[in-house]
Amino acid sequence: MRRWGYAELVVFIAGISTLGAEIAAARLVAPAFGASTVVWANTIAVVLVALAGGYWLGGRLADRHPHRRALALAALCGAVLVALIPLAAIPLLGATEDALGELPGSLLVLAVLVAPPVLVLGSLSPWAIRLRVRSVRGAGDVTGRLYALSTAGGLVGNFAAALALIPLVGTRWTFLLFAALLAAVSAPVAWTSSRPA
Amino acid sequence: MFAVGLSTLGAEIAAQRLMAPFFGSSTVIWANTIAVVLLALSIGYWLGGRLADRRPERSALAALVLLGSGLLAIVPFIAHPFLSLSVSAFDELSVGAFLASLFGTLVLVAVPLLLLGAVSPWATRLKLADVTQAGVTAGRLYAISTVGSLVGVFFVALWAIEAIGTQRTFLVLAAVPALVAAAQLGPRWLVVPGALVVALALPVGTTKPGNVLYETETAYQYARVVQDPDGTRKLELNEGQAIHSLWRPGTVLTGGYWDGFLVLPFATGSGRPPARIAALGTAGGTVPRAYAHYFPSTRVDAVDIDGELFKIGRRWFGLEARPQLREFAQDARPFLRSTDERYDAIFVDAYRQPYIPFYLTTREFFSLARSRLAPGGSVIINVGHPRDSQTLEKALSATLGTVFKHVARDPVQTLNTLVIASDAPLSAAGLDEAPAALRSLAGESAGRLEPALRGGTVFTDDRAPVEWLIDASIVSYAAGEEK
Repeated sequence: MRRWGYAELVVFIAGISTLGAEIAAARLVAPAFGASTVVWANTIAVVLVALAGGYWLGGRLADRHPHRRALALAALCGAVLVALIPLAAIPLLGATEDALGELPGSLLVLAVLVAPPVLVLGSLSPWAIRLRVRSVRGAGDVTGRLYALSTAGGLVGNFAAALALIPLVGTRWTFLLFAALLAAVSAPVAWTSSRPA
Repeated sequence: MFAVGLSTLGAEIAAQRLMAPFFGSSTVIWANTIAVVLLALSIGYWLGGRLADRRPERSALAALVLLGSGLLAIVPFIAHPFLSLSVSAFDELSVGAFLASLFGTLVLVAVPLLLLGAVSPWATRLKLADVTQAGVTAGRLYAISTVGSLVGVFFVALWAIEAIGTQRTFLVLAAVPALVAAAQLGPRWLVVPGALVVALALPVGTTKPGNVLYETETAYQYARVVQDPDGTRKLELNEGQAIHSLWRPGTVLTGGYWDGFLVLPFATGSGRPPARIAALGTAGGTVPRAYAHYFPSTRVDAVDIDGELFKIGRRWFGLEARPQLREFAQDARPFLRSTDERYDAIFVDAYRQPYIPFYLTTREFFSLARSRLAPGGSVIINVGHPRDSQTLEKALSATLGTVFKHVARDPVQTLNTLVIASDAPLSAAGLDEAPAALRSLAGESAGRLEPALRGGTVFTDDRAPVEWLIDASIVSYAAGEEK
């Protein structure tokens, strides 16, 4: 088995996009709802719950469709949803910031905008593990490596967003760039490949 | 898995709070913490996977968890020498020692996290019976660990730090997985979680040395009240490089930038004190106290995100409850949006050191502030900046200039400028109308008043690199000190 393959790449890039999007999301809601503990807790809760749901769902889907193409399609879907965040944010924030308070407002906006892409991105990790595990005996190694890659991607995404992209290009473009990166990795395989991994 | 997930993310938050009183919570410190935590977890995952294939046994996993939690529990105890070193290094402005103590602390946190990170792939390996089930198994364990993290974050951030302090938070975080692991290994290992529970009874020392009247962990920061030999009280938050409120015996004047808020509203030429003001970022209430003395009929809406600071203000900083004063424990921007009041002056002095929250520096925010002003009213912002660094002040002046007709500056202290903006013309002559008791203060301010700095970038909600500008000036300042 090749040690580094497509699944590893997708997991790494998905890690980048997930953490990057989380940082940018906090920046997106602050002007409307502030940065009080309530809003912060909502952000963490929505992201983690969506991730947990994604992991669970991704595991189930992976056993049913253990193909490279299915993984790529899911990743592409995640990219599209990330790109939609800043586009949908303006009308949604405009409609909610006067009508709703900090707690319900930020929860609604985050649940609508951020939860769907994070859920899809979360599903990629167990999916990739399913694709790469060939035998129970080697499962620890594969799982550990993919976990590590996803976390390393998170590290990169975190820093890229907070230290470079948000100050340089602004919040909206940060989302679009992360989405473009993920799409660039997933689109070619989603379109062409129908071979199993 | 659940218990470990709870510990790891909980420990990350607790580690930030452990360090905040000493290093502050700037992006630089935050980035280092995140980097070390994620790197440690990442290496732990990779290593755990390799080890798991060699020793796929429950007892090996349990031993690992026990060791990891034991190491986590001792973090707050051995961290103190490192942290004390940082205080002296900070005072002597020794960048090298400061960095050394920072990384010492971080390594301390990293080792137990590395061990706990190894658990995830190990557990997957143990649970996996059949390759065709790999997706479901991995997905379920991932999900369980994430839910554990969620519980850990909420437990630490919303309850534990405030209620039981950082030291005991670490102990509880360590005891939970230790208990689970000991249950697996057999009764005699219950000694370890038992010892951790006993350690909860250990006394917690004062966090930092100094003549501390009072210290507390709030939901937002570490706050302490320090008294100087002459009786002056200062409110310090986190690393305490900036003073957020000042109380001096026998006077409501501070000799600091706070006094400027008393006289600058006269620069609009209104000829009368403001009838209604909003003080965004009140902290211990230095400004409302001064208003109560000089302009008792002015209605003051005091706003601060951290409600705990009002209590500190009442107890230590002479903030008195009176009908003209209303307190709002709320974020400044949502407050301003929801209020129906129209103010003669809005003061912006909200800091989360060393930054002004970015969403209080943008064109959108200043438009909102303008819409909450009575005709002829003004917005006054305290801009703290490192020596000789004017980038942030220029950007704020440029941004105010897109919303208001007139912007002026009063460089009140070496490290603070008050920037005032209004649709009414601003002039030093207006300051002559200040009451007699404040005449000398107004005269000094009039002497300093000058047109706003030019040439800054306009900040928007989409792009307002406040942290970036401040980090850059801090780094160049620190680098300059080294030479």
